[in-house]
Amino acid sequence: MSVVVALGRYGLEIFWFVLGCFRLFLDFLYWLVIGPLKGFRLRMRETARQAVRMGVNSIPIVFLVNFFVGVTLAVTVADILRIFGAIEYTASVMGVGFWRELSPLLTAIIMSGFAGASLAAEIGTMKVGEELMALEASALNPIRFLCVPRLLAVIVMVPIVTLLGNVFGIYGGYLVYYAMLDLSWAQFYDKMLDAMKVKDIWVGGMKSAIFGGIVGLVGLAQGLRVSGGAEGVGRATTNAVVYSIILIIVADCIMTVVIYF
Amino acid sequence: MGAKGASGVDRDSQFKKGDVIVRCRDVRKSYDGRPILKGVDLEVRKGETLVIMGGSGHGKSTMLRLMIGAERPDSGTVELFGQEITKLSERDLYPIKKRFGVLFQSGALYNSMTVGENIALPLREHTDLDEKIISIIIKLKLELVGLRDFEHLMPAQLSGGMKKRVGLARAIALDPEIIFYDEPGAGLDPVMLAVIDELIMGLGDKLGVASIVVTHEMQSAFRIADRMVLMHGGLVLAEGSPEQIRTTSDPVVQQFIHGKAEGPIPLRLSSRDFAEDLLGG
Repeated sequence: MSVVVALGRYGLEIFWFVLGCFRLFLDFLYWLVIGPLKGFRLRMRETARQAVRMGVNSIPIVFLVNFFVGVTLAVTVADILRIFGAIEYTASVMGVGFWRELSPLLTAIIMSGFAGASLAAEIGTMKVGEELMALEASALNPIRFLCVPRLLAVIVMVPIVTLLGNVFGIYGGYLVYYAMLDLSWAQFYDKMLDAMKVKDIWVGGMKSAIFGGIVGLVGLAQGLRVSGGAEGVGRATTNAVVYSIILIIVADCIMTVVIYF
Repeated sequence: MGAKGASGVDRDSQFKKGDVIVRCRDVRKSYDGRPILKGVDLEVRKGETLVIMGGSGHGKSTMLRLMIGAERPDSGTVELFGQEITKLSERDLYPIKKRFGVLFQSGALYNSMTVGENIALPLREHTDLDEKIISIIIKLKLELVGLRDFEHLMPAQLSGGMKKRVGLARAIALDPEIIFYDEPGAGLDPVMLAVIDELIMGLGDKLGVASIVVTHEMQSAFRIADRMVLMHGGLVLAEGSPEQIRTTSDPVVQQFIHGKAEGPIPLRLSSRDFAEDLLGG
């Protein structure tokens, strides 16, 4: 019984938190769309700086993870497809698997650690250090000033980094394909495209943008609600990663079922 | 009306020295059902320095946060420049916020920006001044706090006292009409404290700035104050000129300003009897 209660409490906590994220998202939309019309300009240079900080710096890790998962997946799949004499279809599995599912998911999870945690820590530290109050006292809205550039940067960068993740992962798969079958990149590429639909590409892109939004919103919301000094910042950072991963996986499942089932 | 101040922020010049520009009436505030402010009345006049004293947890800082619009009272009114702010939307508060500056306890510098950028931020965001003029203003404000050579350093490279001085430079960047100081003396050496005190007094005398200073430093409080308020238990216990406060017979005031351990202010905040607690009763 107590397990049920604990689970229920945890679920409720996540529900309220998601509601808070949603409110933050509405605020974000306000400052993104309506704010500039009222003379509160977007901070584009800050957005670019954040995009570099969170996007570009994460590329090496995205490369490593996607590449190795690509190799692993190719070996695993090829083993089974060999039984049916269809080993060359490894290419199809790699293409569909990475575009639709693996790269958006893996990259988003990496970004939740890379960008989400650092957002929570940064904003949380600013809150503890009275910086957010100082911004408000000088008539600067922290959402407009801090959150909008950061969230915009993550939403733009996660799909771009995911695209690179596709390339890295599929390249890893191709290396296995090449080692086993000694077939050229062109043949691999043809087989891959045969199985893919245009839908897979835009679904992958859409998913990764939504995951980017989740990573950014969860990180920022955790940072904004920090209280209680350094310990609070630590807790917010952990929660940012845990909540992002949970929400990303749930959102992924929902989207995949709705779109493909 | 609508004359531009030195930094280009719109302000009207309706207030003369001696006019009330901050007025709080019957302000009440509780946190989690625990009352912190139980009906506080305060007035501050243009050009005047009001020092708010009181023990920790007796509502000084809460009062400050209410006056700068960071929080809203449960009931009562707070007027800045003759305008009730407690019911204003965030965006309607902006023009008022541009007319006051706040020095936070830790300085609250933006750690990702250099000292110069910290001071430039309100100027860049709220005025359309040329970068050349902004860089001159930065130097002027830093010179005032004696840190002109530190423009390009990051806050992490500064000592606590220096951060506070930069915080003050930033607070006066837009030439505010009111400056709120949250414990300006905490963490400063006596010499630096005297420098900050001089600054506070100078801003009041020369520019007609109203200063509201929350502090524990008695020496500094009596030096800078035109008027003093002692808050105790969520209420204003005593109010008057430094001389009146010094000579009042109220035992709580006397204990506080002389910093005595013995007196009517209780040290122990627990309600249970000590012996009973020890024996697990």
